[in-house]
Amino acid sequence: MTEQPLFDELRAEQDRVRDDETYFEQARARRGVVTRKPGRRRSIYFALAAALSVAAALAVWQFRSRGIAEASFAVGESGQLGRAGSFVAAPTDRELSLRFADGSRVALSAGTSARVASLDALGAHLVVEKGRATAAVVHRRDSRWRVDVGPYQVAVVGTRFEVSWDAEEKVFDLRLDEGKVLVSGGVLSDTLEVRAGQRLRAFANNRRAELSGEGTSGAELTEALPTEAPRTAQEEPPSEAPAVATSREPVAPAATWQALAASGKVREALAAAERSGFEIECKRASGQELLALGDVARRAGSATRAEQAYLAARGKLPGGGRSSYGLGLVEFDQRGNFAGAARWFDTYLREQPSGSLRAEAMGRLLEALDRSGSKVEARRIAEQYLRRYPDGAQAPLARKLVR
Amino acid sequence: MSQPRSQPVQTSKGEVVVPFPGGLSDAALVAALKVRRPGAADVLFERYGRHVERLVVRVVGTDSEIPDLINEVFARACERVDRLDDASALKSWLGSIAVFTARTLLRDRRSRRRFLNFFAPEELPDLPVPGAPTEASAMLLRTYQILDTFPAEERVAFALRFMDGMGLNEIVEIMGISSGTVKRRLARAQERFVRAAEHDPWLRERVQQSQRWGQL
Repeated sequence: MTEQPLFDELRAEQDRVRDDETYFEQARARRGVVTRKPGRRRSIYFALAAALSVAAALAVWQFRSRGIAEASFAVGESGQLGRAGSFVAAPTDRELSLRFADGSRVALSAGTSARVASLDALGAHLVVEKGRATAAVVHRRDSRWRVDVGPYQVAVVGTRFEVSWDAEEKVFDLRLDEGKVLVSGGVLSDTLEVRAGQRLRAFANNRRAELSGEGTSGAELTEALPTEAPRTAQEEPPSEAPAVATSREPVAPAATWQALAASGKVREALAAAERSGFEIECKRASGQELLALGDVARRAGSATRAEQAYLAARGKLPGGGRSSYGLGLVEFDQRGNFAGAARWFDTYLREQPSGSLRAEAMGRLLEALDRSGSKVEARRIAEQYLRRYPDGAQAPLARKLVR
Repeated sequence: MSQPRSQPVQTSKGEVVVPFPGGLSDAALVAALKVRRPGAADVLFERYGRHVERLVVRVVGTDSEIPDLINEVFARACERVDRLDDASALKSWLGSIAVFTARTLLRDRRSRRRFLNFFAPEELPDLPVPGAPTEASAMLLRTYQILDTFPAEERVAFALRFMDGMGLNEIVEIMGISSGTVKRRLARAQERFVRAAEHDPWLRERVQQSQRWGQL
């Protein structure tokens, strides 16, 4: 064995991740299904032909048996198959049911729209854009289910619940029949566990949340909310002014980096963070504070420090928050690394399917791909951009690319 | 020594087979693999799956392609088992296939990046695991970002030596090259790593603190 404490630590961390990711169990589950990866040079054409044949056979089999493959879900009575990225909307006069490969079911109430951001054999990531969804998620030790509802994220293990998001009134409402879920985002300053028989309602307009039902006093969740809640990733502005995580710190007389950043003195704020120990700050600060610190460093011109703060934020925020967007800006604006920037902007779009910076991220992704010479991919993103944001800031570039 | 016996079972095709029992020696397992005895491949997978998983993760890092990579290693092993003469070397032979398969994946990725400069969404970094200790997970992420810039051969040597903690002889055996070549690759990789880590805020201090760096 090496006698390198650094690598001993990295090895232990990697082993921990390896256990969490259950690679071996996934491999065992896929045995006989996946035997060769495409992309090996000598066999690429054979593999492609074989893959097409298998896909065709699978499609026929699915059509005949109405079975649900791991990477698809069945929609409504017809059993039409949807895939990751599919947008589904219930008619205005009746509900629409979704059935998943692991046996879980979700019913979208009339008028509800949602998107299945990703899915596999272990679960799905569902984004309810508006309306009400009732879910019955099959409990499995390794299940990975997540439901995003407006600016809230609901991490699900195995449960039955009903959740809704009123986009106009900005009210989140969750009723849990069985099991438990973890809720974060929105006005919640911390992850909150909601158990069977409980109801969580959160009101964005007056930054208030209530947990009621079994085992609660029915009181407001004042302890779960800071005096002035930090902005969530979904509520973050594109941010020319640095977003300071909380207002808990006094503005004066202590010249903390937070106070200096709040008054727009980003260079002084970065210097203050350096004085108090930047590495220590990265360990101590909350995820939202680290986003703010990343903004400060980026605007002060320190790509290295900005990257350090945003990477630290990724470990502390569910789904990474908007850290990936910040990392994309660092690569794009400060390093001129457009391929790297494209990766981070794409990561943001994947991590935050309901994030408020999606238009900006997609526009930046488009520009980064164009500048890095990835013309084919840039054109594909340009088409998506124009469908979603025909009047967006990058629409002129997108039109030029699709011509 | 009496060997465990299995009960015959009927397959879905109506054939009656005797499943291969799990408690046999590597020599018996290799013999069974060579005659394609039903169940032998499953025993191989269960016996050495974790070993293969560990090696490919060390070389590639935590990556969504790992499960498929593990299966590919075993598919290759079953195809090539006729070439294995010394059954006692089964574990290290499988390790060689694992390292070779992981290296091929890395080379393919580099080729795709170099010649196509194509945006490949499947190669995006995996998300950190929620609740992970921030410093350790960030250092791990940065380490593999640095390794991404290495030539595949140097990366493999470095990953086996430092990430896995293997000794020189083990690396020589698994990579199938001379100890001199391994030493040269390690020296170059180590130099690259130190140079890159010196500019990395997460790794710089730790690398500088290392007192016994590079003892082989």
